[in-house]
Amino acid sequence: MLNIKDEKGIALVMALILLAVLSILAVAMVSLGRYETNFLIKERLSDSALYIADGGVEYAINELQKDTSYRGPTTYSVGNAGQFTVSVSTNGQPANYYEITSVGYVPNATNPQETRTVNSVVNIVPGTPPYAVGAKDGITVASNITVKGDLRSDGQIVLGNNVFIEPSSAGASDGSIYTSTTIAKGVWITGNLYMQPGREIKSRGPTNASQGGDTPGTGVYQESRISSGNPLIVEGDTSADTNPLGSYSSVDFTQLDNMDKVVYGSYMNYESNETFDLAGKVHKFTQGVRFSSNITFTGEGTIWVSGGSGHSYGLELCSNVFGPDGGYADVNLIVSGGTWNEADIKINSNVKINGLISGSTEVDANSNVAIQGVIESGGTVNINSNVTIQWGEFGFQVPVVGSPATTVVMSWREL
Amino acid sequence: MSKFKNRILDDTDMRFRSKGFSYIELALALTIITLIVLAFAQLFIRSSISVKGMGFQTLAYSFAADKMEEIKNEAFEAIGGPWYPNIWQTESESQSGTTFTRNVRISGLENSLKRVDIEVIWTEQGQSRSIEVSSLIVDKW
Repeated sequence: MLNIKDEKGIALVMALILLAVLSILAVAMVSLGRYETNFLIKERLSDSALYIADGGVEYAINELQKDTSYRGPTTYSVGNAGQFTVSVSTNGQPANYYEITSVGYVPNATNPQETRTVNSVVNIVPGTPPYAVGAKDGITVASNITVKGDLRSDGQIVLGNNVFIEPSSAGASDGSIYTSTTIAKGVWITGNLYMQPGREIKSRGPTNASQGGDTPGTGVYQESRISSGNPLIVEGDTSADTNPLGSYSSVDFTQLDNMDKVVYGSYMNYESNETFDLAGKVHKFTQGVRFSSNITFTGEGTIWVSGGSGHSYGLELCSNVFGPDGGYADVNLIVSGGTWNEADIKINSNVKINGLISGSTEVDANSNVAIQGVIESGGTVNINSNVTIQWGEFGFQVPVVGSPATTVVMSWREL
Repeated sequence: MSKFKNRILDDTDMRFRSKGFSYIELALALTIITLIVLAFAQLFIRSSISVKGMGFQTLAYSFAADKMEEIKNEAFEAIGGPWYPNIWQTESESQSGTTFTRNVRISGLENSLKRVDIEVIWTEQGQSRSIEVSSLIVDKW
């Protein structure tokens, strides 16, 4: 019969319970140590995967800087450390913005122990041509002109009176004049020319020594007209500075055509006192366009004339064309085709533009014109009076070939 | 008198019929306890070594990651030196009584793209250990 008051064997029971509890505690401690070890291993591999994933973002930026049409996906091994798979999307992004998604795998994408995913949005800012004014066949600058940046041509450069060629910014090394033409008067200084110290005028035309002095037969003619800066004059230049550029059209038209655009199928004439909303788009005129006086451009964008004929100009800006509040209009003016009676682009008077002005045959800027950006032409550029051209980035990005881009990382986050 | 005598005899009989541990029982108990203690001790030692090793790995990784961040913040042109597999930079640092040696290798994949491999080596329990982190760096014009 069970006697509950019988305490015989209680010590054994207690001892077994104590042993069991201690065993459980010991096993728990060991398990905790193992868990911690595994966690640390996982964390280290995970951090390594994050660096691999970040390397994928860098890889994609490199590809985009070379060719903005790059989309991936690309799987790439980073040494023995791991692999990443990276892809690029432009869905829902503004022009020149790219969303990069990179997955880092350790040790490899086939059998990953750890993965980390990074998402980054970058702005690939197209490069700016290496001149403030560039023209294949020649540049004519009349009077009271300031150019902050280089003048460059494969033809003759004629400079009028009171022409100031200055660096684009304090400390910049530009503010020089270059021509690759080998003709006499490759650079013809007809009036007072003001330059900054340490700048140069280089021409491949005949030298003073070969012509017996500064005569009409020399590459840089009428050097005595230089009023300040004492630039280095090099005639018969053979350096890379005067290598012919060949093309003075910086625009990547394939990419330009792929941008968000509005197409106008007939010649457009915008009457006076109108406001034109650029709306961050490319406005492609297939038959030419004319903006009359007192036009205000709002927003930012590109006016592109791709063809047409029967008019004086492919793209004409008359007088008083500004941005909001009389400021600079953030617009690029581009003419890539057509047959025009006078010139591709005519900018008349009282105009302020922040952008690229690019014509295929001739670009004319008349008077009281201020441009922040670049003027270039596959033919000639003619600048009349009271014109200021400040080399610099464009108000609205335009895809440019052959020039290095700038990349700005807008966001970086882990998914 | 006889009662007293019988009582003494009973007590003597009880002494010989004691229920205490035998030597065999004691030896068996000691063996079991020893085995259990040894097993747990081994587990603890292994766990301790493992945790200590992971501590070293964490320190080593931190040493590598510091350098990676430093390189990522440098100008692209400043990241260079003899190309992979030559060591561009080597540094040592002592932590927790252990010396960690950090080797940085750079390989120029393209003009505007470089690979950075950072290896950290240390000695643990008489054996050489290492970890490596790698990434790419682009020249953002």
